[in-house]
Amino acid sequence: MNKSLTFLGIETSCDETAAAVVQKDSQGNVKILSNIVSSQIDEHLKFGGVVPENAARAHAEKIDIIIKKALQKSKLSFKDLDGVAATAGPGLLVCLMIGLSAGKSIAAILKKPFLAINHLEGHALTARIFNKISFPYLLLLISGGHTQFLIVEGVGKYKRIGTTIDDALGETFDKTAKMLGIEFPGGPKIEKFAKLGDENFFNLPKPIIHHPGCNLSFAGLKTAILQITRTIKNQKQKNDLAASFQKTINEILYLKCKNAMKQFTNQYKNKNKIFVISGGVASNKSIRKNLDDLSIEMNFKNFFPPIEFCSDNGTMIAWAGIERFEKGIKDKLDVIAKPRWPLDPSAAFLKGAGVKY
Amino acid sequence: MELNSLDSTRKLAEIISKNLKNNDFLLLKGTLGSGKTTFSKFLVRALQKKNKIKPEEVLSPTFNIVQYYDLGKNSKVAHYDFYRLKQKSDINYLGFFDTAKNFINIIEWPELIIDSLPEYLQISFIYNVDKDIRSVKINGKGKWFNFSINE
Repeated sequence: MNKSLTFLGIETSCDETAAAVVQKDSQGNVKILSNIVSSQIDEHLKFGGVVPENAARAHAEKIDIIIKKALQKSKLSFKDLDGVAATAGPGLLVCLMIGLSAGKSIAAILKKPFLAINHLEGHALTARIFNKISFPYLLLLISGGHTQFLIVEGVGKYKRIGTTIDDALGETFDKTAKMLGIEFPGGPKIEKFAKLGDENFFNLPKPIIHHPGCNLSFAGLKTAILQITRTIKNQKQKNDLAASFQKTINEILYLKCKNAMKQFTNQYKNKNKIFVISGGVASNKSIRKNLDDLSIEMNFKNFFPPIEFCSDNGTMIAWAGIERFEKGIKDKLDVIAKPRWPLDPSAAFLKGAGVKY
Repeated sequence: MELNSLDSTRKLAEIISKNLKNNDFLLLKGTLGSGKTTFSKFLVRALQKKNKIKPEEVLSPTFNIVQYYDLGKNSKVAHYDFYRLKQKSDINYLGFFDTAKNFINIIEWPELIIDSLPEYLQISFIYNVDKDIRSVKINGKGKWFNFSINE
């Protein structure tokens, strides 16, 4: 029987400053003791003056109070922690450095193990907090900065079988929203507009849809939307475009996920067919419904993490820390931040649509 | 100059790649969907080919604000996208360009920084929606002032 493990997780790879305390007890039950995310509590914090939304300075100003709040809420003190995990990449260097340094400092002072976590691994393993999911499983990671199909073979073992060749899916949502006049990042508002619109009103392109495999492309779709937005005059047309866009995304995901599922099934014939969807875009309800339906059709059992754990958070980092620590992994305190850090460094190189040499 | 196919975008990128050196700034202006990132993709590919470097995947830098690409021993490409930044001070807070000595800098959405640059080459992407025609305008400052491309 394993002993109980309590980890602090720190995440600052992009816009969110986040910290969480997660505990796995000796029976293997997982409890999220706290989960503090800056965007959800900003209105209660007074920093004075305008803090640039995307800047590293914002992380630097918030990190102490976010970690403190995570500890307070967990009702534990630093000495109760068994380890500290912090995101080391991929992301923006100056942002990563803040969470990473904070994590290293705390671990050094406590003389407790430190784990440098790949942000993508955090997303990849999150679903295992909430469900007993065994390896291997198929993962679709869809967020503002990442869009990939991965086969999760185990902790630290990933095979990338597909990726976007241009824009990330969340970015496509945000930019479409922007073209509809919604301030960036307005992706989540697309869903609201779409509910009121006619999804068959506009016919939009599905780039590389007929290519085999499960790579995705959204740049051409963005240009098509740009063309249409120039002619749009009223809210009804905006709703129609949002609905048609969301439908097009769902059709693309349906086909590409199906291809990924077939590939998974071919490769792991006798294994359970499990499909996990993670990342911020996985909170879109119409995408959830679409992938639920596809999973039933393909006889896959699918899992979405709860919506608040789809976007960036400290819980997934603490959890990845626990999972890695249980495998006997620890990192040294001289580990550096890695802006570029693929989960599967051996993945086949992608030339990208039209970029032929 | 008209860009009527991906191939002409690639050719433009190849020509530009031959002229870029460390510490140069190439600014890419244009609306969403006008082709800036597609051009950047071809450009990084051409630069890596010129430097005999294994090609790397070039993705949109919007979310990360900057992506780096290897050009060998003494050079790198820094591919910036300031789309998400709201004010000039954001660039300072993020610490960009502090260590940018050996970089070829490509900047999408350069409006926030253009006035602070003494020298740059700028490509403006123009997409005529009605006619579905893409074209570019090239202008420059400093050593790029008289730069032109013979089609």
